[in-house]
Amino acid sequence: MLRDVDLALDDISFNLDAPPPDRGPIPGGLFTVLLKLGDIQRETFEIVEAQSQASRRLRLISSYTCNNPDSPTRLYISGPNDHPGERNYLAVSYCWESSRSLEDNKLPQQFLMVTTEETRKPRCPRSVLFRAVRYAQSKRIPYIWIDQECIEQDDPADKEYYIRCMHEIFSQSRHTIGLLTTLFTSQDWLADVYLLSQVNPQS
Amino acid sequence: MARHLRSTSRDRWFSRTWTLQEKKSAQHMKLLIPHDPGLTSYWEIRDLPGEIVVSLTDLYKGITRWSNLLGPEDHDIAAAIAEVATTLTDMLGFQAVTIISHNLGRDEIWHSADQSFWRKPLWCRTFIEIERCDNTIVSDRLSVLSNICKFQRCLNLQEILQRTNSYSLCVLALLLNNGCIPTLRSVSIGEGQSSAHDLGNNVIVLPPTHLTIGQILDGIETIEEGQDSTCRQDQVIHYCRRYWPQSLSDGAYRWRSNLRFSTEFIKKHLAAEEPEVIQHARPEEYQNVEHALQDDDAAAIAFYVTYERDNAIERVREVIIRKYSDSPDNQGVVED
Repeated sequence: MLRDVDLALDDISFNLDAPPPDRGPIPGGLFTVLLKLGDIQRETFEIVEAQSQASRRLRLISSYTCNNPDSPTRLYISGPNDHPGERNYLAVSYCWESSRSLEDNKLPQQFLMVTTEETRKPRCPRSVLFRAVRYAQSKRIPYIWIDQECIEQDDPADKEYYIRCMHEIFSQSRHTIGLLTTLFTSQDWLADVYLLSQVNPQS
Repeated sequence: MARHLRSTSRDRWFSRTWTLQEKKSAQHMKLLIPHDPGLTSYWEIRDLPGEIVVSLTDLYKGITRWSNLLGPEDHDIAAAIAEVATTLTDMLGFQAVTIISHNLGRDEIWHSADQSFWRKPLWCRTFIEIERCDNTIVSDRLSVLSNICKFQRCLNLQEILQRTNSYSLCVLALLLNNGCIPTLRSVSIGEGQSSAHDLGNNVIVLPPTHLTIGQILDGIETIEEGQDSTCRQDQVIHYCRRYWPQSLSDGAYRWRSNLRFSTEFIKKHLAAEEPEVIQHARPEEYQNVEHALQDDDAAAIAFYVTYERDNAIERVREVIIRKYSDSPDNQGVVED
């Protein structure tokens, strides 16, 4: 990324090939900056009010009961209009790359994602699905939302559509989990975090 | 404990831009932390073998509470908490940070650093928090900034990233378009000429071109110091006078986060009587008062350059009066 926060406004490098218009006392560099900002405003901004509807049209993962432990668990991904306004889902927050480090071939469960159009392998790390599904089952949460599975990654319009309401997807969900990947390796460590997480230590 | 606290907080989940957005947006975030299966869990949930579940809110509250119980001999733990707090300032909140700093006996560090942090408007704080994250993808940062600040006008990222790779320019455009700093737009002013125009206040605007983008995004902190040291105001004023000598208005003023207009600065540099608008606003009376100007215009700095000087000053005056009047605490103070 271009780390240019130390640049003065006047120093921002624009296309200065075209001479600045004749503006008398207005310096060309400054005027170019203003024109550039004006261009950005006119052509690349969009009002996003309509986007607030996007968080009401989520694809949600469901039906994660598996009777046969030897066969892959089939997770069904609904269409975006199947659960309008649904809020009783588990939103999963995780780091894409570091979660892959937890990917463990010893994980017992295999998954298949079933959409209205295809049956495919999961896009997100298997450990993410495993942990999310297990948590949802323990809390009897009917639906799960995971960005890699519930947003069409190959469709730029779909990504743009949902990325703009990611904050709403997390704020409206009744359940949210953050998946850490740092493995606690000692009992002391576990005990310390337990103590820290107790709001009232005396009790 | 200090070592364990540091190790926990260094999980990448705490430093990613997207997860920053997610943890700030979620109503109730539970952390799932894996552990060796052989360890004994103290938590109630027993059906997640090899994993513990911790409420993020409880963790922060607990950290705050524990910091309050620490004594001087617990300096190492306090230092670890302070380190964690640096990365989690947004979640701990100002009160917690103050308690921690007090217990650490290092008021000078936290007091100066975080009071100013909490005086900044939301977009400033968010920008700083994103800077602390390790995501270097421009479009990700812009999306997260827009979402957390709930900007109504967002960048079409596909479009804009084809036009510029400047993160700062994109952020600046985002802020301008959402009223965080004066809205600039190039408009025709007749006879084939166009100029930058502040649509909100209906005046021609000259931005402070020698201020760095970082300073603008940072809340113009250095302007405060400039009167004694770097004198960036001098540079800006000289710049304005050099290029636009006839049109620099004595109504030039600045806003800063605690809303003290720099009347001394204006008098000194413009050799003018106290501008009318400042006489009416009397901002010194509102230094510690929350009111309408605080968030929207905290970091705004604009030098009003006018072809129609009287009209511009009147417009500025109207804007300030309206904003002060919007606040119940200030009604009736400013004479219309």
